[in-house]
Amino acid sequence: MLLSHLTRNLRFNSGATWCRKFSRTVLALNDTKNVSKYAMFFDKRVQHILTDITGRDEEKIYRPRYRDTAKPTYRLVTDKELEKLKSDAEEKIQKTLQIPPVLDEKPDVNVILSKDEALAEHDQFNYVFTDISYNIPHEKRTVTVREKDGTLRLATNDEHKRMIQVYFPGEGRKHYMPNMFTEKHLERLLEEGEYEYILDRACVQFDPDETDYIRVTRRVYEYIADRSDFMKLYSTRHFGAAAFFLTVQKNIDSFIAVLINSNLLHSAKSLIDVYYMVHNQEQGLPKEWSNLSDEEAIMMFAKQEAKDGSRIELALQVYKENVEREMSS
Amino acid sequence: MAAPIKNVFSLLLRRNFGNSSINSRLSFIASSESRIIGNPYCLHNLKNVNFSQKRAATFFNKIDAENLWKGVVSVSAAGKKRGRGKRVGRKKVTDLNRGQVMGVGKANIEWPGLNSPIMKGKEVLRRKQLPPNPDYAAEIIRLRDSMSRIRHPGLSPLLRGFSGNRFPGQSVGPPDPIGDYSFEGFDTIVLEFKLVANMTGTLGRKQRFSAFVVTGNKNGLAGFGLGKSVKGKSAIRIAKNRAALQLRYINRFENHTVFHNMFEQNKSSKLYIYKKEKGHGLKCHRVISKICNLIGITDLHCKVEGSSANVQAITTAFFNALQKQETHQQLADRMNYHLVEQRAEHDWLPRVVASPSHNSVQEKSYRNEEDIDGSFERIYFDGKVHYQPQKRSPFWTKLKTWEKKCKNVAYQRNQPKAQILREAGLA
Repeated sequence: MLLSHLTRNLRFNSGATWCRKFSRTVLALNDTKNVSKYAMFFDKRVQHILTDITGRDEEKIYRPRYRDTAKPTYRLVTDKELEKLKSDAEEKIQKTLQIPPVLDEKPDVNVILSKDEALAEHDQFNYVFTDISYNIPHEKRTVTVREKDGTLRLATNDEHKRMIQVYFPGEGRKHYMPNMFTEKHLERLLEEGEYEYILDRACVQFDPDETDYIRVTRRVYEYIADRSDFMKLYSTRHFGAAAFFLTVQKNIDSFIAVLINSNLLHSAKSLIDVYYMVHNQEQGLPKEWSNLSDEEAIMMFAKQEAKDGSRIELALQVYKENVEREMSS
Repeated sequence: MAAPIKNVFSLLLRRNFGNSSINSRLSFIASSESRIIGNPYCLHNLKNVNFSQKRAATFFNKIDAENLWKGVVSVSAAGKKRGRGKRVGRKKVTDLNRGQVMGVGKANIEWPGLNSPIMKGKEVLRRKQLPPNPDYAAEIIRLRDSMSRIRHPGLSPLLRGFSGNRFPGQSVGPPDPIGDYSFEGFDTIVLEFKLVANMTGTLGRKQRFSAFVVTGNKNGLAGFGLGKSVKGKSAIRIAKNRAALQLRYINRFENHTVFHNMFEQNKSSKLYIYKKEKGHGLKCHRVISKICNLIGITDLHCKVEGSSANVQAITTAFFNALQKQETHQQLADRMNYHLVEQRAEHDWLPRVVASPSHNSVQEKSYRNEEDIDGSFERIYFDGKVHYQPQKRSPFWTKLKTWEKKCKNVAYQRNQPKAQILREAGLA
């Protein structure tokens, strides 16, 4: 039941909705001089690389994810029809593999609209007023709170979200945060290796710039980085997000080593591209970068930038030996 | 003083009745005045002594135990004809002595030489009163009760066959080993068990048991066999071993169902077999369900039309159908098209399960959507459709009062929705 909720919501949030919704906030951030590194997530080149390295493992994409069962259907098709089916499927797959944005925390709202002292002690409770008219995007919906002391202010992020959930309940989203996202239960789930489940449900429950979403997802990515368990997310929509987050954190040594072990050298080089784009925004890529082969580029990164370069070099060494062995046999 | 008098009485008694009065009971009733005073040795001193005899003439004394039990247990000839006294609940002859030990009774006394040894070491044991033992009597009653009624050992509901305590539907174990090969992992189920007869010149109507069984290893290997014998059990054994000689391998789709829908007929039993998704279960004739269990098919729907009572025809038809199945690769090769599968659990993403291996793919589209019989669902049905009777409408819809009621409430039918709209100010 929950799984189908997750996936349905996934479809609901699919397409460019997220990008459109949150790139706007990033643009606003761009105006200020203090540009966050996470803003690079919406850079077209970065997006392209992240979707590219996500991978298309058939086994993974065709894993049974939906609990509704129905009779399988079969069709006899020509080559042409098969092409059409595949291109339709590709669209669907792209939607399901769209990367949830990695964002900075949303700044909290602290706007006092008026202070009416005549209304002080008017009641025992705060009053919340929500604009529930149609055709307003939820983030623009006005929610105000009249406090007991007569102050009228805009609702905080948490209050805003709760009121939206009351009047426009999101499918699969709970009114209160599910227990699995508390620290105690989250650690247990991580030990069980349920990364995808946690991340999927976090996407349903939270908005990507919410404090809890950022806490939960970053904990998962860091846990995965400690265990070098990246391939569990391969060919899922969270692979690119994990890669981007760790790149911003300058913690991609183990990630690159795992990519080399899985013979994904080009992906490793692309990820290093993202690294330079995020951290060397002024200088750009190193000289003659595009002329370097994958192996050379990775080696250069290991020597110049990596925290744990020896690890990457070792992975590269093993890769080379394997290739030589295959060539000779 | 009393002892000599007793002697006199016994003498008197012996003279009057002799020792033969085994079946009669005697009692002496001495009146209150019959106190013996004076010289006890003088007979004439006995005054007012009355003797009266009590003879209990009941059938308990006349009829022996065997005949007594017969009266309770037997069923009349007419009753037997109707089948009385055969089933659970019939009274049985009870051995009332069962559980009783010589010398042990209500008063729990130890009698050396009877129910205990005489000597213990060098000491000679004496009679001894033990504390009462209430369990002894209860145990005797329990034993008696357990004998008095017939009890069939109950089969668990899963092992029980199609109906009651009968063979059809029951498991009878793997076939007998042939040489070194013991049929490990095999199981056999009786599908049909009946009396058959033929007329012979010498014996007249000669009856035998006929058993029709199916055996399989629940992993694609299965066979069926028919055995006949005068004895039921040996008929089953013969059938079982014959089935073991006719094993055949049945190709299954992902080890859980058939490759495609199909139709098969044997005699007048017509089978419409439908491929089903995982988790659907077996929804079919009980005979086919049992066969599927032994083959290892877990998801299937089958409709039996025509004769659904001819077990042998159904079984033959089902096995024939399974043998004739076409794999997806064979279909793609025959038609020269790609075969694309779409599943709900994969969000209906298309996956090519087979492509023509020898020829190139045809360019003309396989069919237009209106051609129902050309769909994969119906391609093996040869234009046949299983009969789906129309649902009957309930009897009360034909009554005049129902018609009247419909007319009366017709104007209200949209009101609940309209009410909401009115309250919202939208109508």
